[in-house]
Amino acid sequence: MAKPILKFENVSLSYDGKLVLDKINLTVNEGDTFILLGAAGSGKTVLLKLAMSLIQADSGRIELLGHDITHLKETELFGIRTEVGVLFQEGGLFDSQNIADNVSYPLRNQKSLAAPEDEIAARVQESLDFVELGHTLDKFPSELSGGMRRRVGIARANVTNPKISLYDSPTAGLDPITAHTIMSLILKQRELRKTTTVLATHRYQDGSMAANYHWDDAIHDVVRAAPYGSYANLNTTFIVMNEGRIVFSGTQQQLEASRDPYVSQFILHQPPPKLGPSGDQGHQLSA
Amino acid sequence: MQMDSIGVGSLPIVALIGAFSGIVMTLQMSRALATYGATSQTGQVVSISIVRELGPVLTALLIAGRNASGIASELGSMKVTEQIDAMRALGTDPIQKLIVPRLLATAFMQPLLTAIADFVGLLGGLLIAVTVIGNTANQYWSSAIDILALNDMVQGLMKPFVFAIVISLVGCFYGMRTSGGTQGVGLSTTKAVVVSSVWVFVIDVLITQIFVSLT
Repeated sequence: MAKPILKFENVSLSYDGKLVLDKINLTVNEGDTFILLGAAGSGKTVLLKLAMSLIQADSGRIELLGHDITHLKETELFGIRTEVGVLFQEGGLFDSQNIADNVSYPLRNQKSLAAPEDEIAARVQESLDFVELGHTLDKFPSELSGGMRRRVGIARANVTNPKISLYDSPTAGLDPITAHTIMSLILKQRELRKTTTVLATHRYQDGSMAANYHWDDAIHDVVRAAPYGSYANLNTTFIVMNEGRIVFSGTQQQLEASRDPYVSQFILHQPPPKLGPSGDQGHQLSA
Repeated sequence: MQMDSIGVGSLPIVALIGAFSGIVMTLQMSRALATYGATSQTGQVVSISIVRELGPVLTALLIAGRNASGIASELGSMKVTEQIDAMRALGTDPIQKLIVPRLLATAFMQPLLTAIADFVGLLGGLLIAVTVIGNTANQYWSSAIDILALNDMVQGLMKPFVFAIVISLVGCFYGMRTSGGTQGVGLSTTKAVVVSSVWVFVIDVLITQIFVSLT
């Protein structure tokens, strides 16, 4: 049986009297790919930050890598966070540091990851080579394009070989080609390093790619894991969020068959067709 | 690095303001003292005014304008671009990494800057006392130095130390609480300068009252 690696139980959070997350329940198992779909302001980023306890929930319980992190102190969280990689929506790169220092930051600042200088340099180089930016060591984030900054963010998130990687809108604001490159690198990380992946995005294409493509190291690109017209799924669960609530949870097939107006509009960019296919429509969680 | 930015970076403007305050004080005081035929006491009045009040307060206001705003905008920018979240996620305590160095650098450098401002202010006064009022350099300098007691020196150095702590903490507080993108950074910066400047005057009154009651 798959081991739960991240678990939310009835988690709620309010900001300035407004409910941002409402009784969220979800479980991410080891090896899973978890796609959080939702429009801007639906609560995706807040959920990812709660998963690392960067913000505190008002109520409920959050379990990460077997630890109840709901009420842990900041100092107690540092050790747990060493096993989590995170790519922030804005990249979160330190603009006063060059790329090498950015990527080596977790290795230099987390006691449990302390390593000799030559080993740190080798791991930084390997991590940057992984995202095909091995030549940018001495550059500063401001000298790189938006896509390159995201790739450096992926390198930094995964330089510690985390058990779970959280990606917050990794393709937001990027052109389709760069977005494809970023998604390919995320899938490469998922498969070559066996990392559990949680991906928050507003682009359905990203989730579809995660569910149906895998990394082929021989051709150095992603390839479709199932013929066109069928679903590979690849241990992928889709969650759709709307105004702090989970309105759908299920597979891609169930998602595409959903009759929920919000879900359907989100996926198809239009209201649901009047005569849709019958069958399993996933867990319709909305009223 | 913080000491260089806060201390060395502020030195030219602090020295300039110190010099002008000494010059203006000397011109104003000499006029008032001339009424009583006591222009030879100009050095004393200027010295006490600068060491006890003008040096610490003017330097603090400059540091508030230059460094509280700098700290708030730098930390605010880091906050809105998720660099502070990244720092926490990557295993660093932002308080240790960002706030403590700024607090220590300001607390160490501001008394030094104030001492320099005081000295340059007295030199400015000397220039006016000799060239405009007609005092001799020796007359001005000895009256300016002789009047200063230990109490004045302690007061003149304690004030900037306390101001520094307040200014840096206010800057850090507003920086770390920034939200709302670039507009939020601007708002935090403005609040940091206004609030720290007001606190400088409030604390000045309190410390002055303490020293007045001690003597």
